Amino acid sequence: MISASFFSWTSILPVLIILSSLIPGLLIFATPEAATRQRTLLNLGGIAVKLILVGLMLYGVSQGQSFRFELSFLPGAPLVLQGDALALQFVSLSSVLWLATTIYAIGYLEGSPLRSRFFGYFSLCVSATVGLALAGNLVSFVLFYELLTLATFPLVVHRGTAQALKAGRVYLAYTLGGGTLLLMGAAMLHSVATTPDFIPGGYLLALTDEHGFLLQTAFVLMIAGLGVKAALIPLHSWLPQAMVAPAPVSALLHAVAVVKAGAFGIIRVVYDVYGVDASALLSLTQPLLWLAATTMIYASIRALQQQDIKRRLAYSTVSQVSYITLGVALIGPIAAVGAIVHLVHQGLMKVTLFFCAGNFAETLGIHKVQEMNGLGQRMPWSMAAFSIGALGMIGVPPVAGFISKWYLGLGALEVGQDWVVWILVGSALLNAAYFLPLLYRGWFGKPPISGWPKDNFTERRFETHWMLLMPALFTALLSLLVGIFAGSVFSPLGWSEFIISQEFAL
Amino acid sequence: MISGLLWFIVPLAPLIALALIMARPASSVLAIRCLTISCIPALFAAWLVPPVLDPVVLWQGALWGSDQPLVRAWLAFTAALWAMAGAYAGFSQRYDKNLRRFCVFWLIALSGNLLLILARDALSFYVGFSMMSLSAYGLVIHNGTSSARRAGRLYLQLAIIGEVLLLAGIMMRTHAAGGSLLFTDWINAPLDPVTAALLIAGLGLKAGFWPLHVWLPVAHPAAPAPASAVLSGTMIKAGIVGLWFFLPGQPASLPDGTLWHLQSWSDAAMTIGIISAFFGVAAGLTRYDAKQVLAYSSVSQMGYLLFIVALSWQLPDQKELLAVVLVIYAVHHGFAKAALFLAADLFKSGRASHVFQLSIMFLLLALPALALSGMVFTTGAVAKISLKSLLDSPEMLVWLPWLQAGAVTSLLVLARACYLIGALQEKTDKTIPRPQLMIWASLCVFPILLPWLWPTMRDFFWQTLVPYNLLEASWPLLTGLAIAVLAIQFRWRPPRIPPLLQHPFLALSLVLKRRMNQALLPSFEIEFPKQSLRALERRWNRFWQGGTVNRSAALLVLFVIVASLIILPASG
Repeated sequence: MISASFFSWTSILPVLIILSSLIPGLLIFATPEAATRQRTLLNLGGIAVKLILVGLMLYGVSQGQSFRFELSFLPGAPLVLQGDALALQFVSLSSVLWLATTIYAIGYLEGSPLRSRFFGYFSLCVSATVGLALAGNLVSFVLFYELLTLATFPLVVHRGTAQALKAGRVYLAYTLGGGTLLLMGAAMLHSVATTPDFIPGGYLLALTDEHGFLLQTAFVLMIAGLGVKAALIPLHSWLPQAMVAPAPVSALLHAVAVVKAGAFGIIRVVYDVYGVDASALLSLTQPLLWLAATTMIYASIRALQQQDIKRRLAYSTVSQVSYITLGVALIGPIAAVGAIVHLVHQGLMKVTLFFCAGNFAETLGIHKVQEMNGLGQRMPWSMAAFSIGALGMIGVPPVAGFISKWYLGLGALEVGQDWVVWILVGSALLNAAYFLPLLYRGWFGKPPISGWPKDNFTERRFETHWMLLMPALFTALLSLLVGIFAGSVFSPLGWSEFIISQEFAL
Repeated sequence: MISGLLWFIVPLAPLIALALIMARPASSVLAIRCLTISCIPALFAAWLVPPVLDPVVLWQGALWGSDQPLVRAWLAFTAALWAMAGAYAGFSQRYDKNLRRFCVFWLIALSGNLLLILARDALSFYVGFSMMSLSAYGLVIHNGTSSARRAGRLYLQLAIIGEVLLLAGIMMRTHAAGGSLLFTDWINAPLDPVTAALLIAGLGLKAGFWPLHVWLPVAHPAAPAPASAVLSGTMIKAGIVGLWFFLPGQPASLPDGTLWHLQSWSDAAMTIGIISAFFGVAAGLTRYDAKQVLAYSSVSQMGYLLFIVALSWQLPDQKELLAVVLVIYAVHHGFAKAALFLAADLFKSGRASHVFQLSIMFLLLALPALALSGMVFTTGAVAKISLKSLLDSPEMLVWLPWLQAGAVTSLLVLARACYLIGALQEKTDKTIPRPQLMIWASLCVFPILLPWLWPTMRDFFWQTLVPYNLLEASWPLLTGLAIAVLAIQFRWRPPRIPPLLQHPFLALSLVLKRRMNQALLPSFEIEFPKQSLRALERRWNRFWQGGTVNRSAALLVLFVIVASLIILPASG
């Protein structure tokens, strides 16, 4: 059924935002392999349109406009796209990082085969992510969640090597399994409450007496399903294996699309489906808190032992994404700000780290931590960007990561869970232990006498291909700026506080 | 009328200089200018005292700048010391091929150091503290020798540990203050023992008093001389200034219902301060490296600063007077110790051309050393008398003999340092570099000039000139000098201590690093039994003979229906 307001701009805008990457994506599939210029034009044109539309929506929401699109889908569960403040946080992140990652990917894959397939799925992946962010109810969310799984699989196995295929199989086994669990959980909720829109405070509070056990079971199922993508232990093993994918895919997987989709889903389920009060009433969040804390520490310790740069970064992602879960599970306004702002901060920092790791691999053939000696002399700019990302992960001010850590710590104290501060302390120490040796080698080590494993781009103006360097510098600068100017209204922090003031009705 | 934005420029100036150095190939001329000029806004701010600035665009509750005498004096001496050491570094590191890297770390540390002094809120302080702490690592390991790398490792490990402890403490303190970051609110917020312990440990690791000093005697000798000068002169004092601002607070009730006040720790802290003062001397006397002896002397002097801070917990009414004493002590020690560290480099870098120059140099060298031992007509005597004026109440008299004895022992360790510095002259044949000599000489006369120039000091200075006080200040000095002369006369040599015992923590630090690289936890990742699973899949495919997908899907649907039939009634 098409409502009267179907064609008003507030209802059409969410659809347009998804289409702005979906249509270019489909067109890219049709472009011949050699048509590099067409493909680039489609990619960049799509991004430009999307950024403009997102900017429009940001302005609208900050002015109190609401954006909603509805299409009947299942009985009691329409397909809803809704541009609320929380959705926009994620949409803006993915749009901005899509820009950076696409430019990076164009440079990274220059001259390699099967680029049309790659960029096609790349765009589909972003469309699914944005759709997931804009999803206005649980069923729409599940739909896009599954689409995301399908869209990323071809990217993970893009190289087609035996290792990539193996990683792809593991990825698919985990995420499809997780998707099934999520679907079951959503179906159970639908059976008792149908599927209304996400709403701050949730819609299940009235049902807690009658259906307590069912709600708890559904929560466990959904968290398990989302936990696969958010890489909570023991469901995280696919992530370190999936790092065989090309660097831009790893960047997208770790910073924006897949991992974040899981974390974002947890935020949605806890805040907008169950609601703060119902979650507390059903005592759902304390186990989640323990799980997140364990993941943070365990993954950090595992990261210490990895000698492959990308594997170390992957374990770091497992640990850092749990910060978001931790903040959500603490159930307090300050911790929630920390969680939501970390969604953005972790994305910016981690994408920087993966860009740089890709630069090292592409330019000098460096994959192992031991090979990083003296890197700062050959690639000072990439190394500087890498350092900003790494310091941010440790939580050194004024890089963005510090802000999230600060809010999480204060939030934990606010709700009386003082032990979480010690978890944060331990995690910061471990982060330092696995990131600082890399920085030491890069800046103070001596370059190998026998030369680098390979040495590309020596005749270029910059230390590497400009399309590889600029995105890394851009995101590094952003992670620095959002940390330094955290107090301004336009910062992710300011926006997160705006979101939380709605969730907790402050 | 001067704008509050000047406070903003103070920490920004070094960063602008940094951008300048990054943009152009580093020349020593540019470096000298940048390192020196970037301290000037801080001097202006300390002099003109612009109105307080609240840069809320950075974070909620940020507040920079103050007209407190403590902050002004601290800022001025810090900036002056950095400027002089920077000028020295510009000359002494002139032919360093890593000059640019040196400047980068130097300027970030400078910016952080200035920021933490003018910060009136804890977060700004912490930002400055981290910038300074972490970039000082680059200065410590700058020489790249194996001993520098070892020292750097220990330094960095402890700096990181100190920082996270401090952050945890700041979080708890902010929480106790109802989310306020301002030091003015913290005074009225309850302070519990855990928070206090975290803050003391975190800041103490930077301040370097016993037993948290372990990195200090290792890191200071490893760094290039100007870096050691600022490390010892200003950076370790960040820990003290932090303790001063963060503590104390209101009494907090413990879980068992009793009230706990920081006052109950002040005797213990003062004792630690005194132990630190004597430990530093004892350890310093047994070392053979001039810079290490100086570093131990810093451990000893930081003991006195801790003593003053702890005294302020005991005497909350006298906090304002104590602030004056604290800043006098800090300024006094900062200039004198920086001069001595630079001397250790200067005496090694060239030989005096004739006896006259040599005697002038030794005279100048004696000035800061004697000042640190409390000689009259110098800042030392002023510092001593200002502290003593606070200890005249009967219950404080117990501490007085320790201070007197401390003056004797300070002189001994500094005499040893001067002896070792003088011996460095034998090891070189080059001519002494003139610009460094001039900068060093001007730093050496500060202990004499400051009592005349600085009004705060001048008031106490007149007191030191009373005959009784002159006499009282002289006898420890003369005793110390007599012992030193005898020791030189009889060619006393300290016992040789095996390296492992000298710095047991260096070995521990290596153990820690190695342990970190080993597997700490078993992997409990779910590994698919690949082969058997694949075989199972094949068998499944053969079993359904073609219609595998449809029938599997049907089975799944059946499973979901059965599962929901079981679950739904159970909950309903």
